[in-house]
Amino acid sequence: MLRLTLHQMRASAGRLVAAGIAIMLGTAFVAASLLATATIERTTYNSVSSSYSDADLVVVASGGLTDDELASIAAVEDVDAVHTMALLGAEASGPSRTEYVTLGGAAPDSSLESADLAEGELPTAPGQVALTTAVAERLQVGIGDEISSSVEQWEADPDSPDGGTSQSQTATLTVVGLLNEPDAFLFNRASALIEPDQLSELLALARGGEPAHYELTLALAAGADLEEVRDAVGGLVDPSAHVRTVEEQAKITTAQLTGNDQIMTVLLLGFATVALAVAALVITNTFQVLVAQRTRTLALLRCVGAAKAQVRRSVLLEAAILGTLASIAGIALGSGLVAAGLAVLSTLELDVPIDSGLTLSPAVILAPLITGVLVTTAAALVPARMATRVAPLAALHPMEGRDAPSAGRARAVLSTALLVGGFGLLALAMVVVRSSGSDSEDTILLALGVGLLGGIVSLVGLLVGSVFVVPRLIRLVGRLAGQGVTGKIAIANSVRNPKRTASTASALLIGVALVTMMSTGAMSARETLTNELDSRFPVDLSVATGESLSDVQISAVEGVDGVTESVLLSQRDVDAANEDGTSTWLTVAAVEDGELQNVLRDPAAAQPEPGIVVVPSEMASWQGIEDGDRLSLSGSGPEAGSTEVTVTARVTGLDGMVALLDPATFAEFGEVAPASMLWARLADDANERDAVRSVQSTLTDLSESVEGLQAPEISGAAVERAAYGQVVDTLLAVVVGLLGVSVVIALVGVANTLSLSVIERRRESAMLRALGLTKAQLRGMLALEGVLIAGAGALIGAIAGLLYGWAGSTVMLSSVAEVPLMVPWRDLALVAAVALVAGLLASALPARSAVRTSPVAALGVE
Amino acid sequence: MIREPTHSQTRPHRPGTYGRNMTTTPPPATPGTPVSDASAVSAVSARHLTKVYGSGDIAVTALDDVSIQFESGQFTAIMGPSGSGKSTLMHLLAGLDSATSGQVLLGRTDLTALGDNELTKLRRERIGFVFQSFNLLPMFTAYQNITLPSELAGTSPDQNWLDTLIDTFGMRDRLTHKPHQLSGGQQQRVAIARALSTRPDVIFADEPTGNLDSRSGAEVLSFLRRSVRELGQTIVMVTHDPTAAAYADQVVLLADGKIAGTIESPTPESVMSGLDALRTIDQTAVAG
Repeated sequence: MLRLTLHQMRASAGRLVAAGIAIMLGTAFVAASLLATATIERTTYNSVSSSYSDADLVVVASGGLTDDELASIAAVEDVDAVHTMALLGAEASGPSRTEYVTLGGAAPDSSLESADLAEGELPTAPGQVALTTAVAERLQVGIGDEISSSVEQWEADPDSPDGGTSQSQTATLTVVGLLNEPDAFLFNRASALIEPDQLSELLALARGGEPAHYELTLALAAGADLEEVRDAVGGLVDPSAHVRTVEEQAKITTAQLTGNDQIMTVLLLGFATVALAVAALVITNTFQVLVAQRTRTLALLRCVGAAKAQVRRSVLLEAAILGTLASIAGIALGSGLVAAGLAVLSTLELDVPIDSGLTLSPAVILAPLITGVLVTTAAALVPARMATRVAPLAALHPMEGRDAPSAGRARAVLSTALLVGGFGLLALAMVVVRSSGSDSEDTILLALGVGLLGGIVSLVGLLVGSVFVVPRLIRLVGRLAGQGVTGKIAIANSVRNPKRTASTASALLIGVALVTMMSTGAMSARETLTNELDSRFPVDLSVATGESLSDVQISAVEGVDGVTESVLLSQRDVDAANEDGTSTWLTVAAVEDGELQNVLRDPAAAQPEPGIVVVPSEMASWQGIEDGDRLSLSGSGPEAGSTEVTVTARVTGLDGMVALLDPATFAEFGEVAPASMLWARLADDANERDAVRSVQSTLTDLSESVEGLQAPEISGAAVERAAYGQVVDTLLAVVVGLLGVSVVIALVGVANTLSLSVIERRRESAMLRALGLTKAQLRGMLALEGVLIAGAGALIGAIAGLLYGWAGSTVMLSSVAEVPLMVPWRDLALVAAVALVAGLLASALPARSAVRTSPVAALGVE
Repeated sequence: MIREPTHSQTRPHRPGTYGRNMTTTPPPATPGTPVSDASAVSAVSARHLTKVYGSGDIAVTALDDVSIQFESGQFTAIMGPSGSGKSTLMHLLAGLDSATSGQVLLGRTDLTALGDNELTKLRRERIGFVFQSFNLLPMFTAYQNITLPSELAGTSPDQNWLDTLIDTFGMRDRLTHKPHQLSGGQQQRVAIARALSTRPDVIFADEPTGNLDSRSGAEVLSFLRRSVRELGQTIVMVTHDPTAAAYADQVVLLADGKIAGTIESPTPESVMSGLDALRTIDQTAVAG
C-alpha cells in the first residue's frame, strides 16, 4: 500500500505541491514566531548574565542594603570581593558642555567588572572617573582632562514654596579611562565609573542615608564552597533578599523581562492558528478533489480486494507524508525569514545587541512539525472517509462529471442556529456595554468574552453555511454582471460543486473577515482617539516666551507651511483665593488678537466668558482647583492694582499650565501686556512633525540672527496627536500583514480549486474549443470563475468583518468615549481590489494549461 | 497546441514522410475519389494530405498523401480498421489538428493557412460537430445546449431554423431538460441539433452511435440522414460499424493512411465485404 501511495503522490505531485504550500506557509508562521521569541529570550538572558560578569553569587535585596551590611557581607569567609551595582544620576560638565550621566562604581575585583575598558585604566581612587567614549566625545574631554560632576540632593521642607529644597554637591573628577559602549539594552548601565567608596558617599548623600544597594555581585575565593557562602550571606541579609547564582538570577530576570514578549508570542501564535486553519481548509479541499479524481483507481483497488481501512490509511498516509514534507519546508522558510530579519537588524545601528545566530531548540522544530502533520492529517479525515465510500462497482461504470449532491437540511439548520446564536451574542455584548454605561472592567471583560464567543460561533456558522450562501451569491452577482454565454458558463461552472466552491471561498472569507475587522476596529479606535485627543490637545502648536513675542517671530510662525490659523494671547500671574480658604497663584492668559475658536480643535475645551476661568485639568489637580470652584482673582506683582474679580472655574481637558480668561476680565487687572504666547492650528493634511520642526528651526534661526530675541518655548500637541495615530496605524499594519499570510494561503486554495476544475472539465473545455470558443474566451471564462469565487469570499468576509469590527470596538472603547460606527471604505476597496486581482492571478496558471488542451481531446474517449 | 499559419506550398520536407511539394493546380483525380464536376466547389476537400506523428525512428505516418472531396448535400461515411487514419483524417478536415503537409479546403478556404483564432471562428460558423460521448454541457438545458454555438459567436440563432430542427428531432417537450434527465439517444439528438443550429457547411460526426444501444443508434442515424435529405446538410461521419455506414450515401474506405476504395449506395453487406476485402489485402500483405 505504501508503494501505491507514493506512486499516487508522484502522479498528483503538482496538486500536492500547491496544497503543501498552504501548510508550509502556516508552519513557517509557527516556526518564525517561536524562533523570534527564543531569540528575544536569549538576547535578554545574555544581556542580563553579562551584566553580572563572572560573579559567583548575586544578592538581590528589594528593600536595599546599607553600607554596613555591605561591609559585613564582604567580611564573610571566602568572599573575595563585593561589588554594588547601584547607580546614581549626575550632571557631568566638560569645558563647554554639560550632560546627564549615570554613575556606577568600578568593581573591586576584575572578575566582577562588566565594563569594557577601551583605553586607560579604571578608577582606583576617589576623584577618578572612566567615561564611555560617547560621553567623553560629547563632553569633549579625553584621558587626563578634568570634568566636574554634580549630584542633586532633594530635601523635603514644608516651609519652602516648592515644598522642599535641592542642594547639589559638586566634585571634580579626572578622566583616567575610556569605556566601550555598554549594551544599553534593558539596563541603564553606568556611563561613568568612579571609585566605589566615592560612589557610596554620593549615594549616601543623594538618598539621605537610606539603604542604597539593591543588587550586589560577589566573587568568592578559589575553592570556596558555594552553598556554604550562600547560607552565610543569606543569614546576614533580610529574609526578603535572595542570594542566587548568576545563572539562577539571569533566568528569573529574563522571565520577568520577557513577560510581555510572551503575550506577543501568544498573539503571533494566534495569527499562526488562523493561517493554519485556512491551510486546513485548502488541504481538505485538495484531498477531496484528489479522491474524486482517483475514484476509478480506488474502486479498482476495492475490486481487487483492498479493505476500506486500507483505502483510508492510504489517504491519511499521503496526508501525513505531505504534512511532514511541507512542515519541514515551512520550518526552513520560517528559520530563513527570522535569520534574514536578524541579519538585517544586526546591520542596523541599534542599541540592542542582537545575537544573529538562530536558536534551533527541539521545541522550535518539533512544535511546527507536529502541528503541521496533525493539521494536514486531520484535514484529510473527511476526504479519507469519502474515499472509503467509493463502491467497487464504480470501477466498471464510465465516469462522467456529475453535479455534486447539494448539502443537507441538517447543515442548513445547524448553520442558521450558529449564525443567529453568534450574532445574537455579539449584539448582546454591545447592548451590555452600551446600556451599563459603567466603565467597570468586569463588565467590559464579560462583554468581551461574550462578544468573542459570539464572533467565533458566528464565524463557524458562516463557514458551515457558506455552501448555501456562496453559490447563491455567485449566481446573483453573475446574473447582475455576467452577460453572454461564456459568462453564463463561468457562473454555472463556479457553482457546479457547491461544497468545493464554498470551502474555497471560505478560506478567503476568514482572512478577509479578520483583516476587515482589524481595519474597522482600528478606524473606530483612531476616530475615538482623535475625538479624545481633540479635547485633550485642542491646540496644535503653542509658542510662548517669558517676555513678549516680536512681530518678526509672529509673522515667521504664521509663514510656516502647514500653519493655517493663529491667535495671540497675553499672560500674567494672578493670585487666586479659593472659597475654602486656600490660596495659590495662577498664570492666566487672554486672547489679544485673533479668534480663539479658529485655532481650537475642540472649541468646548477652551471657551472663556465673563465670570468663567478655564483651567486645564492638569493645572487644576496641581493647584487643588475643582470644577465649579469660585475663585477670587487679584493681581500679583508690583504694578498690580487692587482689583479683585470672582470667577467660576471650569476645568477642561485642555493641556498646559495656563488658565484662560476672556479679554474683558483680563483687562481689569491693569494694562494688558503685549502678547507673549501664540497658538496656531495646523492644516489637517499637514505633516505635524515637519510643521512643528520647521517652526522650531525658524524661531531658533531668528533668535540667533536678530539681536535681543529669545528663542521661545514651543510645545506641539500636534506631534503627540500624530504619535498616537501612528501607533494605531503601525499596529494595524503589523496585524494586517500577519493576517495577510492567511489570505495568501487562501489564494493558493483558489488557484488549486481552479486548476482542479480545469482538469475535471478538460473534455468540456475541448468540446467548447471545438465548437468555437476562442482561447481568449476560455481564459476569460476561467478568470471570471476565479474572480467570482474570490469575490464571493471577500464580500461575505468583508461584511462579517465589518460587523465584528463594530462589535469589537464598541465593546472595547465605549468606556473611553462614544464609538462611531465607521466603514473603512478605503480599506474595503483595497480588500475588494486584492480579491479581484487575486482571483485573476489564481486563474492565470490553470488557464494556461486549459488553453493548451487541444480540441481533439473532446473527440476521444477517456 | 499553437498553430502557426503555414502555407503548404512552402512547407519543407520532413524526413520519413511521403509528402510531395504541393502545387496550386487542382490535383489529378485520385482513384477511389468520388467523381466530381471540376468547376463545382466541393464542401470539403483534401489535397495530398499527410500527417506524421513523432519524428525520426518513431515517426508514424497516420495519413499518407490523401486527396479526397466531399460534395455538398452528401452523407459520407469514412470506414476502416483501427489505426487506418480515419480519425486523423477527420481531425484535419475539421481544422482541429494541423497537417504535416498538404491542404484542406473548406469551400474555397484553405484551413492549413489559418491561425488558431481564425480556425476557431471558422469552426463555430461553418463546421458542426457530433461527438461519440455527446459532450453536452451538464449545467445547461437542452435548448441552451442547442444554441451554444451561436451564443459563442455572439449572434442570435435563426428562430425558424431552430424550430424546424427541434420539430424534426422531436425535442419540443424536452427543451428545458438538463442532459442527465435525457436518454443517450435524446442527448445525441440534442448534440446533432446543436451541430446543425448554425447551418454549417459541413458536419463531422465521430462514432455518433458508439455510446448508444442499437435502437437509439438507428434512430440517431436516421436523423443524420434526414438532415442531409430533408435539410440539405453535408455530413462526414467516421464509424467502424457497417450498419451505421449503410445509412450514408457513400462509404470511403481507409487503410494504412491511404484511401483504399469507395462504395456508392452502400448496404451493410456491401460495406462488410468491402472491409473484408481490406482485411484480405492486409493479410496478404502480412503473409507476403
